[in-house]
Amino acid sequence: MGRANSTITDAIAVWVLVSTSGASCRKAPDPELERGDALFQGAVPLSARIVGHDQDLPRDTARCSNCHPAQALRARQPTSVASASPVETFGPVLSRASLTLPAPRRGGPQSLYDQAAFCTLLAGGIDPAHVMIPQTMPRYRLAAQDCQALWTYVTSL
Amino acid sequence: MDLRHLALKSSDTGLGRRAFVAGVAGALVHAAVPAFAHNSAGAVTPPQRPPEVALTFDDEQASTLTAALAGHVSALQLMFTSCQATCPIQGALFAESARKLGDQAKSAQLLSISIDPGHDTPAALREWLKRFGPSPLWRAARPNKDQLDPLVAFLKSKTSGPDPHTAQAYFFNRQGALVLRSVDFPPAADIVRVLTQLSKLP
Repeated sequence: MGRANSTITDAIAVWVLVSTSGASCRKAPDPELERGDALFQGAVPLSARIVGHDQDLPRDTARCSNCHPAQALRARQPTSVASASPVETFGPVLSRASLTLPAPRRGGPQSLYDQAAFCTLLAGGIDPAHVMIPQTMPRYRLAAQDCQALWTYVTSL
Repeated sequence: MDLRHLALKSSDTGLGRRAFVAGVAGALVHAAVPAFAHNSAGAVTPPQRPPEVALTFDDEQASTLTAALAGHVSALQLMFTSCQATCPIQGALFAESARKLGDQAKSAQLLSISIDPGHDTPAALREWLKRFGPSPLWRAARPNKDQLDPLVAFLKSKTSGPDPHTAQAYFFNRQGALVLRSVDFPPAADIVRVLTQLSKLP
């Protein structure tokens, strides 16, 4: 009986230790990352329009996640598009690696993104190699802090 | 795509089909070159009749593309309801076009044809229209799956990317013949202008 009590006490002690150390290691929420996530998923609306149009797109049609499968999102939520569906993803996967490693893009020379290049592309459709992206991607009007939040989010993936 | 000067040419001068086609070609060549070399945007001369395609509309009505086009001036797009990328924008543009059309062109209609007929039931098509704002001027349909490929080939809408259709609009005259392929995502105002001009032709 005494040995059993000792075992239970030890187990509780271990549980408390693990729980406490887990809590101390847990990161505090990053407001910028959360803002970027919300912008990316469309929880916070984005102002965007197609080149040559005189009206902004409806909120649901302009969210980044419609076309760009964020790696983390894809891991969390396997695609809901059935195999019978003609398409799974449309835009390139965005991640720290895909954006910040040098690579040839759209037939241009090797290039890579930093935050400024990312924001330039979102606003005007010009990539870091000065190649125009397709017209099918809307152009976005973002406050500087929102573009920074989006950059923080996509480079966290 | 900016078809504004096209609309002005036809409406202000009362020129006929030849001037309309010339204006369309000029507008689209100017607009299309920088963005989408793979799109065959521009005027279709002479106008071409589409292949026969059996359709089932969102209201469960069975018909054919020929019958649906006859007597109307039409803007047609290809889409599918589970598409998350281009199709929501296409839907928003057709919904806005329907709102802008009002009674400007009484014979005008907008048709969204699914390229995923196995999945897009009439109920799914109704829900898709409802998402953007239904209109009596705008209908959706799924084609007979065996007749889809000839239609996509006729429209020259097939793409090699992961999204296998373009985001163009295809304009048909009152005789049901294709007269114009737009660039991707034509503005709603331009869709309305083209339909209005087409409706003034015999």
